[in-house]
Amino acid sequence: MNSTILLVEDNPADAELAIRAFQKNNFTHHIVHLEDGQEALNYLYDSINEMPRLILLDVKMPRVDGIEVLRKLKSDENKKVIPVVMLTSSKEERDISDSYSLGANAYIVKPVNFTQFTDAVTQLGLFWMVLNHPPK
Amino acid sequence: MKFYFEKRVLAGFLCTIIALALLIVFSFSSTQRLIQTSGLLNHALSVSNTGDLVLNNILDMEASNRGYVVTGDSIFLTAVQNASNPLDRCLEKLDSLTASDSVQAKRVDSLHRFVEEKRAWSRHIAGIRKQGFEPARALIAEGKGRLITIKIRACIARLQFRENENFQSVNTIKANSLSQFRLSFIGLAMASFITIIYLFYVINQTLKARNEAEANLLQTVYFTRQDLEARVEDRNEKLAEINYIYRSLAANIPGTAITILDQDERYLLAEGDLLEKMGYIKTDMPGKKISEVITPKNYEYYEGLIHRAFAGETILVDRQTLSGYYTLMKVVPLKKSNDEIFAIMFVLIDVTEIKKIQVELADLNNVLESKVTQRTEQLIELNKELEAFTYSVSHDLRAPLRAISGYAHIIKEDYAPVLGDDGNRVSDLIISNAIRMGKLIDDLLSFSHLGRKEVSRAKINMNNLVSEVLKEHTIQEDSRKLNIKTLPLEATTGDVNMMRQVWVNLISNALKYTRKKEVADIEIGSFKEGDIITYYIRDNGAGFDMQYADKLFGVFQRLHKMNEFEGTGVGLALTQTIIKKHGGKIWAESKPNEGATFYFTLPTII
Repeated sequence: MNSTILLVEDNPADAELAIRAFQKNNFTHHIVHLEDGQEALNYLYDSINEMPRLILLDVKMPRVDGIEVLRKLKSDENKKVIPVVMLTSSKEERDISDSYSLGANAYIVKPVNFTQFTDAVTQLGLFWMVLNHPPK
Repeated sequence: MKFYFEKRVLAGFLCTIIALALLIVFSFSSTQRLIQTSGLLNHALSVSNTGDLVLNNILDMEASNRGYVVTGDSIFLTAVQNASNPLDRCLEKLDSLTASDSVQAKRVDSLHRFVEEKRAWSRHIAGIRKQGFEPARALIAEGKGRLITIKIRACIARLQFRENENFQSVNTIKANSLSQFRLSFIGLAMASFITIIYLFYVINQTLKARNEAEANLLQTVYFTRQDLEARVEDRNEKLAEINYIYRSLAANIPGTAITILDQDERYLLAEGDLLEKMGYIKTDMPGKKISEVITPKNYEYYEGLIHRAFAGETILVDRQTLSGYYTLMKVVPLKKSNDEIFAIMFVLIDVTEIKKIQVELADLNNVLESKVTQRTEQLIELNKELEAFTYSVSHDLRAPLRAISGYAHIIKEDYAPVLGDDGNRVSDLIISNAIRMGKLIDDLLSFSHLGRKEVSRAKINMNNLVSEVLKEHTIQEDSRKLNIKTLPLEATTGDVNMMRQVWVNLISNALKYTRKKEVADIEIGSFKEGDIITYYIRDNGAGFDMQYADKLFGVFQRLHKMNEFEGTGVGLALTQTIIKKHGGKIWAESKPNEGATFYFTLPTII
């Protein structure tokens, strides 16, 4: 079973903190960090790469944003089964409703409080990587 | 009054007439009776006289007889013969006089017999005398002749007595009826007299009253006439005044011309400064025909209007005159009370200035409209920018904060021993401040979101809403004593989510500011006044000084120190925005350390 987590995050600090949070909670999964939507699409549509178990997708990114990536993935028969958790700084209603209507599996607003942030990431990982059973 | 007089006069006349009639009747009957009485008297006198005549003739006869006896002269026999004829006439007269009276008639019959006896005796004596004087004298001496005469005398006396008696009785009756008549006559005459006097009095009074009334009437008529004349004069004066007022009115409305044309199209009136402005001399116009005053070209235009107005139409035209003025003209037919049109009136108003202003205004409006469009576009643009800005704030400002707080954590976690106590304290401060800033940003964002949010309206059961919010917020409370009293609340209509936010803010404030009290007393209630419902929440918490009350609802305004009571100072600002969006008001009353009461109103009709 694939065990890759794809983290698409343009902010290096957020990425580092997220990775640290995973590490602190002993997630042994391979975390692939990409810095924008275009990179993510390139990665996902490169047949060399194993399809990730979970995609953590930031909404606001240069070049191709998270919403765009989400739209592409969820309209792709092969890719739409991959759980996508939108990670964002904003509580913007429009972003939230857009995400869900496009088929995002969860929407998480990154807390400023690092403890809460760690908790959120941990719970995310726990749920999607351990408890959730994707269709084979 | 008049009727009364007439009735009295009529009654008087009636009385008089009756009295006079009675008088006539009485007089007539009395006269009749008098005539009757005097007839009787004559009768009695005739009978008596005739009786006397009979007796005289008898005595004559007797004297003549004696003369013959004495003398034997036959001449005395002729005298006896002569006395016999009147005697018979007298007896005949007596017969006729006593025919109606049987008693007297009998007596006359007896008289007849006695007279015949006397005649017979006379003839006997005469016969005896022829034989000689002595036998005749002896016969006379026997007194038989005298006896007959006495019988005759007695008979006549009885006749006369009876007549006299009759006459006397009639005379008594006559005297009685005469006195009666006199009395009645006097009475009736008096009555008539009195009635006539009364009538005279009444008529006199009536006439006097009538004369007086007539005099009064005359005087009144005189005064009324005077008054009428005065009034007519007054009316004329007023009419002149009104005429003057109308003329002045027509003449003095700035920028107008008022003209009236009669049926011959002659000016009855021409007033107004516009006439002069257009080059007419208004004093020349009255009496002239319009065609003599205005140009033929102008008249061509007016002719149609004049005909239409005389046909009863009221016309309003907007026209640029030949002299270049913009005018508004109304043509009005003037009607008599029987609807006949006797004249038409032209009212012209100079609207040149207004026209100019209208054009300017239209230009300005266009400019304004384009400006509004421009501004609206700008506004839309700005709004978009603002949205982008808030988006960017929420996204871009939070990211570094997360980094600050995250890395401070890492330092703490990884380098705690190296940092020492002070280093750790500073790390904590960095973290808490970053978190606080995050909260400020969150609140600011929700505040700016709220401003743009539309209020959706639905029925809200405030009791349910408040009890839900209370449950959520008291669940985290520790062991301190909460004494929360919720009175039945009026229902309302509004945005449920926003209203929940209001109660969350107010209830959490009440809980927050009573935290230092041993027992938190909180009361929630509402009351309705007319169309307005007022809700309130009262606590016994820290309260505030009313002199800062105006700052209470400002964004980021706080009345307490951070280390006393935490908060960003957005909650009440948010609450006020929501209440205002619902058409209500919010205010608070408080004293430091004596708690606070927050009130907010919601209209029942929106």
